[in-house]
Amino acid sequence: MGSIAEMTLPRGGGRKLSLQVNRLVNYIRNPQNLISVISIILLLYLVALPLWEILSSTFQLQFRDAAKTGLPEGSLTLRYWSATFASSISKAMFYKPLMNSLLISLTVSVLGITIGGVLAWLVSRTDLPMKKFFSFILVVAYMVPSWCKALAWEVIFKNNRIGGYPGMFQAVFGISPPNWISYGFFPIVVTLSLHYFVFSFLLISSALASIGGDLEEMAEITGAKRGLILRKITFPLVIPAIPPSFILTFSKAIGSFGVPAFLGMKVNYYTLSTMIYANIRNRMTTQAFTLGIVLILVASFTVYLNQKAIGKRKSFTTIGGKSTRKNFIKLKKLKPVITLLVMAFVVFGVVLPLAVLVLQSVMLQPGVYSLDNLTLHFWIGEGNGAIADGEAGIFHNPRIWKALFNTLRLVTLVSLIATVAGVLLGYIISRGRKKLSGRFIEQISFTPMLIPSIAMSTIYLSMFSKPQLFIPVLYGTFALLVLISIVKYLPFAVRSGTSSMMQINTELEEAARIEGTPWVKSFVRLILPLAKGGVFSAFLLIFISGMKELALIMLLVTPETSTLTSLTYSYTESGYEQFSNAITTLIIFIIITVNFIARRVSKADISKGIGG
Amino acid sequence: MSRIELSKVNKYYDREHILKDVDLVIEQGDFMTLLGPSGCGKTTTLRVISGLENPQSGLVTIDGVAVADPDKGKFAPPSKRNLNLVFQSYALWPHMTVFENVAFGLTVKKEAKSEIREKVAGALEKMQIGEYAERYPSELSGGQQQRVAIARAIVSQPKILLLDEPLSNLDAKLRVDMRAELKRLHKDLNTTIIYVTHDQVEALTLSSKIAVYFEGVLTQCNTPEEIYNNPSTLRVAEFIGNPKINFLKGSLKSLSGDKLGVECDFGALEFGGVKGRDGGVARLFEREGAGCGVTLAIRPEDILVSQKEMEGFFSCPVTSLLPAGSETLLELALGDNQLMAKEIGQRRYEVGQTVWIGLKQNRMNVYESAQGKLVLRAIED
Repeated sequence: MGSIAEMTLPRGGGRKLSLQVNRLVNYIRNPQNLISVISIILLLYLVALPLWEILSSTFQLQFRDAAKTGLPEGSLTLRYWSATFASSISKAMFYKPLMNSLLISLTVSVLGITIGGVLAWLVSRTDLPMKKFFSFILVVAYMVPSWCKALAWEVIFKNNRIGGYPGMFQAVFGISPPNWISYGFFPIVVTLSLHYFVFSFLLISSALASIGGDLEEMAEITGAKRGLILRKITFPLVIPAIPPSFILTFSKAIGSFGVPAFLGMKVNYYTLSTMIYANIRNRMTTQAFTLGIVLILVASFTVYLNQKAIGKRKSFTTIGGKSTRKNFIKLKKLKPVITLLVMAFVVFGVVLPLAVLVLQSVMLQPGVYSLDNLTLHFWIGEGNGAIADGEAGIFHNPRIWKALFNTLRLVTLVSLIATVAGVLLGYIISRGRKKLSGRFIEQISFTPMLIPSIAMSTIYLSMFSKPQLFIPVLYGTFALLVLISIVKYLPFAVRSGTSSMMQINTELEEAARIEGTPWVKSFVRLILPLAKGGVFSAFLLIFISGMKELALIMLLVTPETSTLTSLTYSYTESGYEQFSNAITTLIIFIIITVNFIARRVSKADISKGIGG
Repeated sequence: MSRIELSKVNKYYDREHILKDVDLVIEQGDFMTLLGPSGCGKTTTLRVISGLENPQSGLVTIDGVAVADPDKGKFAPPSKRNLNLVFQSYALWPHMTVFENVAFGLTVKKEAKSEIREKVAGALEKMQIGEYAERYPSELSGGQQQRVAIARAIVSQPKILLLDEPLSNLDAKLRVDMRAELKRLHKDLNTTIIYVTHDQVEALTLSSKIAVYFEGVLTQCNTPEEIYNNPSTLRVAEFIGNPKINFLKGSLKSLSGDKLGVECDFGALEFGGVKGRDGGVARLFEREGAGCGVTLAIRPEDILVSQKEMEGFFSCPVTSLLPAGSETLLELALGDNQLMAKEIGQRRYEVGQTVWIGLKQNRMNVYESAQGKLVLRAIED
């Protein structure tokens, strides 16, 4: 690089300028810096700008309202915020949904951590039988989309008061379940807890695994009883795993859309996320934005609180000992009871919802539980005017084939691009922890984590419905789905990328650099192969999450770009639940197959990625 | 009194046979070291004594009382054995202060607060870490953590103190300091200490007795001097001592009266006083006759080196020179054998130069090559 500077050195004033130009050229020529610059620009554009856009738009008079008030479009106004916080509709539109959201998320977090913690302890510390099976099936629970559990709940506990056919429970027992069981807070909390306990299960399991058995053995030698050891040693040591479990569960629960949509909207039980959706449906977009901002603030506040909550002094990484524990705590007399309970949990939480979905997809008339009502029409039937307005079974239905194609194309592209971006950004972050650019990239790439899916899609909806800088109108295009999904999964990808990169010693690269290997080559030939395992796990996790994604893309799809999940939702809305159930079964089948193949082909383990 | 006795103890992990018919007696006040390469069963023996593991067969008694009796299905829990343990990892509870760590066992026993304070202070004082009482383990150095772990183990004044490779995580200098400290502790406390290590120097320095393990079999259990001077097998001989013992291949030639003749590729050797040092060589000679393969073992410091030719010495070239300040190590080629000789102080030799060496026949152990068993013991020179 020095030679360029020497060759072009002019005299006098120009000298200073050219020195700076040369510095800039040198800076850009370093591939690491180049990637930093490009990624900062992209992240600002895709994460920070949308946030700014949505915020500023809530203070500007929109076109629709300009005519009413006689003021010019875009003039400064507080009407949208005052409508949200202090107006006649505030209670129904904001305060109640907010309370519902908070209450649901808190309850789900508490339940999820309790269930996950107890299961984690049982699996890693006691002589519970069939542990491998249980750990496997519990993680499968996470692969089943949460809204699919809501669908199953509805099928079973639906009552005939809301309208439509009665649920399975009523058909079998002849008792109509009360409304609070069928819809609203209770079923939403139960289904979400049955879904999100997996976070706590995995995080607490790994915390338990990292506590050397010797810490507990030591206490045993002093004569402490089981209960005391659990209370004084094991539990306090697991505590550091609880805040991250809480953040994950709370932020996921508060942003969840499918479950409260299926189980709440029919009885006008709204959460912030379903209210955002309802507002957009009613063309009150700016109002929806204000709710979206509140949702983001709540999510950010939880993260902040959690960081505060973990005291500096007592925060510890467990001093690793060799985990000699081969002695599991004996459950003795309680063993059959506990095994049965765990089994029941698995059956009700995982097996039953799946079974119900499959069953429902082969019933001609919903709610009629007799053998002659069974049909494969919704799977393989040709279009028939007598059934479901002539919609053909999913294997003959071009709409569904198209959606399947769209879905696979979308998730493959997204997981590929996001994983690559995650690796590159992870590299920059891990090597640049001490630099401002590294820390900045880390912060900003984590931000989408705080933006609930539904809020994010409202932002992208408005931002890309008009041309932006060098990007044309993207609304209604497939590209928009790809873009938003990449940004949404970036935090996952970057975090996994960073931790893979952290494990690779810089000396490995330096050894290559001394021999004159160009950066790109050492990255491709050294870094990537070493990070392979982590990268593949991240890919798989994003693939599976993408297969399940509903809230993020629901507002953005058009009939042309619809995916399997969005079709499920629209079929449910129009009352053809058998189709939704059949499609959901298909989605779950794909997820489990992909996961199975991935586990066979490589050592990739999605359970390692979910928690992190 | 606290006499520990293991007889015919067997321990399996799944199908893996970890301890094979282990017989071991540890007397009151012993500093017993369990020594062996990793995976040999020494830690498992410790855990069986502590009660953290239960053997599948055999009997463990402390003071004549059975604490592990698999035949009767009777196992005393660790806390009822009046012992305490220091783990290799220290196993300090990271969420408790040093004080809380040390006090935990006493609070479990519900002792009075004032008494606890006094005892903890005493234990911390003994380990010279009184000033760190309010710190958390993560705020201490490795050596300090080590002391806390020991303080926690001795605060309840156990009759038996078990130490599982306690020094292996310390740096070299601290390790030497802690050795002296442990020796002092043993004297002060007057307890039985059972100490697990793979470091033979540690074992030789500290112990009153050493039990050497290989692959789950207790091969030799004796005083450090005996283990160093008369290792019972070739394997023990090779494991103990640094620099390593030298082996010379040979074959029995003659046995007449008190004299044993051995033929080596560099010449013949004669051993005297066979009756006094016989470990079965007479029987071996009777059985196998002349020509039976034996291995002679001699410590580097028992080889005499001379610059001039001497009577009964063998000539050999110096192949390498390893001066180490206080001593000088010489590598020699004697016939087909590579030998290491050790001389105290700094000596001048040239690589390639020929020297004459004398092998102190009294200081040599003779092993039967096939079984690796000691057949002729070394004695005082």
